[in-house]
Amino acid sequence: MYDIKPLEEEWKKYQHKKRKPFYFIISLLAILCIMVIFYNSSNMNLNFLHKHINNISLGKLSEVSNEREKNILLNDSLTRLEVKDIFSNSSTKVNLDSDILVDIPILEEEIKVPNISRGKVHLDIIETSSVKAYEDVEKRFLQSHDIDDAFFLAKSYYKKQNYTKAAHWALETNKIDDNLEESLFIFVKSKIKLGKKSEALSLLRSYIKRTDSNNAKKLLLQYDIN
Amino acid sequence: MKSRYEAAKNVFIDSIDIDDYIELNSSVTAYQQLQHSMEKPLKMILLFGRPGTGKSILLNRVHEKLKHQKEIHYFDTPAPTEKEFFQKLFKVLTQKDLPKNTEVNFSALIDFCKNLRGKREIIILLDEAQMYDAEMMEKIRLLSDTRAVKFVVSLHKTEDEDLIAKEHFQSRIWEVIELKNATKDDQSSYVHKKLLKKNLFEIANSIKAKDMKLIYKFTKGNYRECNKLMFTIFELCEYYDKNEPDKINYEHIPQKIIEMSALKLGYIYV
Repeated sequence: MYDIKPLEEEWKKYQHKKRKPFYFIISLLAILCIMVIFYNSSNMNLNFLHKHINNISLGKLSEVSNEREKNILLNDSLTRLEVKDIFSNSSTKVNLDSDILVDIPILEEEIKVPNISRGKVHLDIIETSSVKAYEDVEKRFLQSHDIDDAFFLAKSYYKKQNYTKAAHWALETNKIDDNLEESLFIFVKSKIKLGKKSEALSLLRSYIKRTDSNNAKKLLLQYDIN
Repeated sequence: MKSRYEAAKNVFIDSIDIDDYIELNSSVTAYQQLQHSMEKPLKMILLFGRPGTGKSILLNRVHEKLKHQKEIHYFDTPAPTEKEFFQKLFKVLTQKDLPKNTEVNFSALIDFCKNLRGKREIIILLDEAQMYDAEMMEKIRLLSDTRAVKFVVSLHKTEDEDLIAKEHFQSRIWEVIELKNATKDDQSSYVHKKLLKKNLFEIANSIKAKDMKLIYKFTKGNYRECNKLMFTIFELCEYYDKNEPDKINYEHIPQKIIEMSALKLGYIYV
């Protein structure tokens, strides 16, 4: 009788070889599953990103900009504010369905969210552009002391070149949050526009002393040169 | 201790023993066809097929069955020389041994056969005829032309089938009977009948249809290959039965053993 062990070993190798196509198919299916899962999760992330962009463009602009724009010069921030205002205005003046966000199906839903959930009137003001609407926000601020309302009024009045009111609402904003740099810059800039440069720069210097803000330093340097 | 598989193994030792002949649908058909052809006034009949399709055992069967009714002779293996072949033929025809130190005179043999015409009808079954050279085959043809001797020539069908195209077989053959490999059902019957013939009922029952399917896949219905594979399967079963009985299942032959046998015989490779 021949040695059975080498034959058994050979048979094990044969079994392995026989199952190779099966393993290959299983691996292929596993890779396909992973690809499908990955593809789906990418789509979900994209949808999430679109939602996020909508939120920013349609009402949460001020909240997001608080964190993002601390390191930006006043001029830059104002430019950006203007751009954002234009964007906000255009989003109200033109039909939203024809905007660049028109292909995102959740847009309409997202438009409604900030109005209902937050109870803010920002969009109403932009839509109407009426003086009465600003007054409504001012009245509401007296009751709510909502920083978003105050900051919104500061930005809006600055844009409308009503520097007295802009300085007032920037001050109100900083009363609530004295670290909101952008509001402080609106205050400084408004005061300068009102001819109170020394008072404005003095405030800026004290702010620099307290926070060592690079943006504030740059702004101070810019006005010192001028 | 003697293993139950030892007897089963020996059933599949490849032989042309007439006792091992198994009647299958295909073999019965071939037998009847050959018998019918031999009754016709034909000079040469060609029986051909691939090795292991049952040509030799069919000739053997015909010889055994008809030897008491007809003057029929079976030349199992070709004689090594022409001289020996004619010595053998001389004995068949004259029913005498050739005297020592003498040779057969072929012309005289032809004349002798011509004289036998109408008196005797001799059938010579020539197995493995592909081993005869062209000159020998020409002489065989001349002998068959006397109509006193009828030849049934069995030869292998090769891959290119060139033998059948050879001159001798193109013009001299009057009837051709081709044997083919067994069908799946025939092979299954073959294996079971062989085992049952030796009263190995339990072992025959342990070979299931699934096993037979695998055996057919490896042997492609060739009887010789089937014998080889079955022999090896039972040889392995015998080993496990004696040495590692936990690896053997008496209810059915493990697929592992069938595949190991196929590996050993080179039907499959790693």
